[in-house]
Amino acid sequence: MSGEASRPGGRGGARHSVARARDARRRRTGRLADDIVIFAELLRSCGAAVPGGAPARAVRALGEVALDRREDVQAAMRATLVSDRPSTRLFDLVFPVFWSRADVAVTAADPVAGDTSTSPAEGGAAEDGDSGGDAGRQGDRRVPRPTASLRRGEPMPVTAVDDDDVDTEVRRMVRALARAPGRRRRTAPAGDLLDLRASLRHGLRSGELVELLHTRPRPARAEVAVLCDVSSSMAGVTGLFLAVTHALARHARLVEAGVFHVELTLVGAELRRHPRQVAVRRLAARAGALSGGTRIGHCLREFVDAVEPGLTPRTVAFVLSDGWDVGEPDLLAAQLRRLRERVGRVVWCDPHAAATGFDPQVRGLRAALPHVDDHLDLSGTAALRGVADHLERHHRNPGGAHDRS
Amino acid sequence: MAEPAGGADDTAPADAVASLVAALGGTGYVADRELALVLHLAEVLELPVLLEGEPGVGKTAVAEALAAATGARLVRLQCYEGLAAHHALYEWDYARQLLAIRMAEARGPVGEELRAEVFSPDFLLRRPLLEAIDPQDDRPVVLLVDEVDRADQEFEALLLEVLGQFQVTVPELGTIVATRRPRVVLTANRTRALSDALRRRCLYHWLPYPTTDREVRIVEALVPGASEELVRRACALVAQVRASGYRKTPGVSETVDWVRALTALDGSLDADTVHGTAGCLVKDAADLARFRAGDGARLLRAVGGG
Repeated sequence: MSGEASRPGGRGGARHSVARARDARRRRTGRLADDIVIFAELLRSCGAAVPGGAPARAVRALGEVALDRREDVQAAMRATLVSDRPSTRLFDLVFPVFWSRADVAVTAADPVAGDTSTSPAEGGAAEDGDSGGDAGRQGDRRVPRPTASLRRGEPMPVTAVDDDDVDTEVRRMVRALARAPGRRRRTAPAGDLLDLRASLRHGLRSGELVELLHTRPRPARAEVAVLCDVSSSMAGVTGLFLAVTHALARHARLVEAGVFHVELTLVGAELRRHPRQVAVRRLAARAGALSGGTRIGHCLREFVDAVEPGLTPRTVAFVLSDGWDVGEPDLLAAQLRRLRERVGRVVWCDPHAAATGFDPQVRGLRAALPHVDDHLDLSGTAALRGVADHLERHHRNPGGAHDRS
Repeated sequence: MAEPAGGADDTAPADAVASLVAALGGTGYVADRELALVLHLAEVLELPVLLEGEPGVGKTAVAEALAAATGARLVRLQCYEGLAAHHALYEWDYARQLLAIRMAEARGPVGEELRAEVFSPDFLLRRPLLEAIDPQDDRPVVLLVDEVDRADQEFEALLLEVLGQFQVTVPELGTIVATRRPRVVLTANRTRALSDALRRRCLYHWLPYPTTDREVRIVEALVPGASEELVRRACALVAQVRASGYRKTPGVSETVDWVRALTALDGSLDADTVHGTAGCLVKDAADLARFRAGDGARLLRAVGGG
């Protein structure tokens, strides 16, 4: 199903990483500890998640394994240096290039030839490693991951957005969506369960156990998945849309966020990590390089493939797009239906929804609307207030009614 | 460290890994060398292991097998949304405390000693994390924190503190420090992103689907009655199913269930039995329709027979 979906940072990225690994290999010193630090830097520069302190741990780990067993050395370094699945794949790709077999012998008990030159056979094998390098790939979902190297293109003009306004409105939206009772409880006078812990503590304070306290469920934080269009047809509102995406990522519980034009990039981790301005600048720089057409259906499919395990009926999916699609409309409708089956609500924010005499002429959007719960205008900060108002009024599913407020 | 020329040291740890593979095999868990190496490193470096992998590849079974292989007691903390400190660490038994207070009041005037009594270890409910740090008996402990990604992000902070210090502070009793650090295994299904802080403190291991050879050995270990040929063909077929891009990919437990079902029928693998038992293997309506519509027969031909 996802077989033909291309992975950002896929083959081209792999070749790039292998080239970097060859460069890094020339800097090797022959001292294991130093080389591990260089190797860790290499992994980071290719986009892998290498925690601080990991190299030191790797050195300790290598003290515990047989250095003449190459697969043990690789496994020990993998377990200590990288900390998630995409990074594991990257590790397996660059490991054989950086630590070519002959070189490891320098540190092992039986020194073979100390060949540090780049042999073509070895480089070729490593590049093939992109497709065959990770055993157990079969049946594995291909997960789009942030492109490791930011391609510098013409930065997209990002209009100034009032951060505070966006924050205020998005917080209102998130609160409005957080109506489902969660599993955590808080004290409430008319709650449905006794809180013995609080009652006893309260009683101890006054010396007398007279009052029984109750708890009721605390509303669960809204859970959102966000897909944001950054293609050139959206140029005027990209700044606002990225700001809203970032605010949603920060204030709600984020399943995942993606930005797309013709290709999808998952940016959840980046949004969570960086403050607004840094995140928006980085995303806009990345988006500008390739923006042009839009393939919503294709990108939506990749997005659902990637986040499917995290979607629940409590999730609210936000799609921020004008619906211009150069791909097939059938694909968009099918993928949107797939998304709708897996989440509780789909909210589509459209910069043109409030235009006079709006009629979804855009074929992509026309195909999509039957699977959208709320189709809302988002053409500016003022419209964002309208979105929050709407979500407060209809905090449950409006039952497929398309509100074009 | 840079000149680890000690040839004598190199053999000892390698043997430790091999013997761990053997010990795990003795409990019915067929581990590959890589997994055993990570578990061995976790022991000598005193670090938790974070196991990730698709559902059904046997993540939980790793901890169970590790406990059985090392003669340790398995303390399991199943994570879920809303899991809080008083579910994971400890809680006072408030109902019993209330009773004790009432009884003491009925006996006569009460004083400060009652307070000490109701906040004594007798009234403490020990939850898994405290149990792992301060076990009641002398046996070593394997702490399994299962599906840690199902717990709230806030819970991770608590877990980090406990895994970092291996101590728990109960204000009324004082600080309880682990006399012997438990081995810790965390499992996750990637339903949400785990925090970097948690990843940083763990050894990471991605548990892939087993190779067909290894899966054959796993199934043979778990379904002793199955014929060798049936197991081999069934595992080959499952490998094909995994490569076919189904929505729900069958895990090892599905293979085991399926072979068990086939063995219970008459031990033959043909078009009829595959059709009849497809539900053991493929557990999604759309997938099942696709499998029965022709995929199953095609894959069966690919592995021989049908």
